[in-house]
Amino acid sequence: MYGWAGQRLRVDLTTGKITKEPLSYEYRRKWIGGRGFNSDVIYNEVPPNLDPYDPRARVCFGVGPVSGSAAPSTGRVTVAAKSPLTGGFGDSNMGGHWGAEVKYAGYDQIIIQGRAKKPVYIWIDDDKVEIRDAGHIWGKYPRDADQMIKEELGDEDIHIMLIGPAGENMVRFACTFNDVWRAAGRTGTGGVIGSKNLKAIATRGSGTVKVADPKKLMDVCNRLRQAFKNDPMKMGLYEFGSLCLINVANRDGWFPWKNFQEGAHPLASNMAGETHAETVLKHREGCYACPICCGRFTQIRDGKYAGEEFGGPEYEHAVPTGPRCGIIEDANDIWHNACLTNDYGMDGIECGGVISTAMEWYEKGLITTKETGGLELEWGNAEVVAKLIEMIAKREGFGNILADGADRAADKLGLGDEGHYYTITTRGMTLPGDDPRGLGFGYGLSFSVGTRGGCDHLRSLCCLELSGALYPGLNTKILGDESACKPVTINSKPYMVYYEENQKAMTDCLNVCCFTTHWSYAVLTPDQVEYLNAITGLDFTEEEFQEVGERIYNLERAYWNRLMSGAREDTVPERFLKEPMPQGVDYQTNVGVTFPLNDMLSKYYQYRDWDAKTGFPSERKLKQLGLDYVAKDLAPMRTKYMSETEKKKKKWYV
Amino acid sequence: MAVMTKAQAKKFNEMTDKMIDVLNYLKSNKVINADEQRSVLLKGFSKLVDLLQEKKVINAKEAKAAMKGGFESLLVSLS
Repeated sequence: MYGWAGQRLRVDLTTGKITKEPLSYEYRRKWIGGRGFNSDVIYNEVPPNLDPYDPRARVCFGVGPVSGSAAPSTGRVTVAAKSPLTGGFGDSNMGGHWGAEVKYAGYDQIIIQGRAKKPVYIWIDDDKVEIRDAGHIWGKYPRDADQMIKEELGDEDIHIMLIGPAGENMVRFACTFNDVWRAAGRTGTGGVIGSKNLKAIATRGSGTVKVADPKKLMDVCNRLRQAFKNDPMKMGLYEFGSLCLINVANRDGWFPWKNFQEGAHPLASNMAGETHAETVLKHREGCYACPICCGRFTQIRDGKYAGEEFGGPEYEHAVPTGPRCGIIEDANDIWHNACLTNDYGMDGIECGGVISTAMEWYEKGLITTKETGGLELEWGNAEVVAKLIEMIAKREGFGNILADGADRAADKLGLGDEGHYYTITTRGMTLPGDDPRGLGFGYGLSFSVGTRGGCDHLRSLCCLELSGALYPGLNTKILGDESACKPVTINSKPYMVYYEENQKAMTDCLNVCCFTTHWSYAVLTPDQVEYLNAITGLDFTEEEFQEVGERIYNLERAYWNRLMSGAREDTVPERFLKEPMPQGVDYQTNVGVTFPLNDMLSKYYQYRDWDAKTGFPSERKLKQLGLDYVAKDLAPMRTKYMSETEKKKKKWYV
Repeated sequence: MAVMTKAQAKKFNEMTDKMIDVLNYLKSNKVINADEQRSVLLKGFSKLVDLLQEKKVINAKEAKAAMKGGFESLLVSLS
């Protein structure tokens, strides 16, 4: 067998049973790997109404047939579980080197189920798999636990998946890491892992990836590496990391200032990638086989946090506990808060989101120091933000309320519709740092329909509108419409989102970094099919490959539909629909804009062949994709979704 | 080759998102079949241009113009 390892590893932490399950040719052809394998397991093995923290819940780690090969950026891992934050389908994706190591150890996927009686970690040494005591590392930051495990196992070269204290405390947006700093941030998979009393999976793999046509593979890889050399986005990402977006965000009005009250600020450049590189960048880092090396390692050199260092931050990691909370004057406060969310092991987006929401509740008088335990949640108060990060991770006081996410917090505090207005969520998950009134109408549409809980830039990653202008002719080639490269236009955005969502799903089932296929566009779909076939020896066509992406997307959508989530929940926070963007700086390009969801959503449903009233995939579409069993599952749900009882339910998501 | 009227082309040009509508029109007028429509949806505009050129609905010059001018150019060639 070429490409794939051909088996998945299943560990039941209740019984201690460890099994290796072969993956048939038909299964691998249908789902390919990574997100495909994971989505199939979650759909079939995690009932929609199961508590995500129930021992019967699964958490899956998927890699792909090209993982661990010489193809660019092929070391990523997709982590999937029923999300404790949203209750729906959840997954996230992380870079680093652990994915390649899992492949070298001989596995295409790892499934964890059950719950250990006490804290444990799993040690995978090729085909030897052990469950080991983790009492001594429970409670440790990822950076410390990583070192302790390596010392215990006597091997500095192993790679380790870990959670932090927030995951152990089942914070609903706790995240998963590997190689200490590479995070699978969103949807709370870290909490599911923590609920199983699992701290880490340490892995050593001495195998390899069998390649069917090594010469062909190297020809493709060399061609792609040449393409990267002069790629404009690659150059920006290498030089300044994803913080290269700060000045662009500010100009185009999608910089999230004070919980998205505004989209630009005169001091935004304090945290721009250029400034970061001059003041705190210690070194750059790359993931496995990556020609981009967008990773940062930060060391704060002066002020009260002098000496503090950590991996990161990314744009999306830094803005939520920075400008979204009104912090911009001293960038060291922003770096420090990003370091804290890493050390405690939480999704920086969700953590900053819930804190900034609480700040707006405080500003509007919906809560007072009575609810906050004496904390004054004033915009820009960096010390309060740092304090809340710690309290959330430890589930202490007011932090315990926020640890369940903004919508649950609004309900618990009895804040009603007015409180929910400021949560800036769709399906219970908060927006990343991209205001759709600025970036852009395609992103905004994808936020409304995203299959891991809405408000999610990484379901489509509509970079045809983010970086499309740097690639003249690309929007014409794909969409037939060069004007679509402008973020604030509805032109061709429904088709853009449909196309990019499928493409992103394919990239995720290969477990390749989306910066190679979306931000930089150095690697296009025909290139992916070429190296996939060179490695596996198979004959995927572009259509078959893209159909896999469409299949995955519809399966994930159906998971939500079974939870009675459909067209009514396909929306974005009201702020973006109702409030015209105010002016923050005089060069801002989107003053006065509101987000025109209704002008795009019904057209998007046509592309997807989803019913306009329910937002459920049509039976015809599901059967076309080989998902007949899903069509059967959804048949009784379609009528139920349109019932008056369901219509009356107020869901953010329940 | 004209497969639509100028009035129809103008209607399409006025749409902000036209891919699916153009494909539905071409399918209902038997210029392309269902499999070809699906292939274009998955692969994008360049696939549509290649297909129409293969079927001799547009010539090489028109195909080149379409890859430069997008739907605006293609619809002129089709009407």
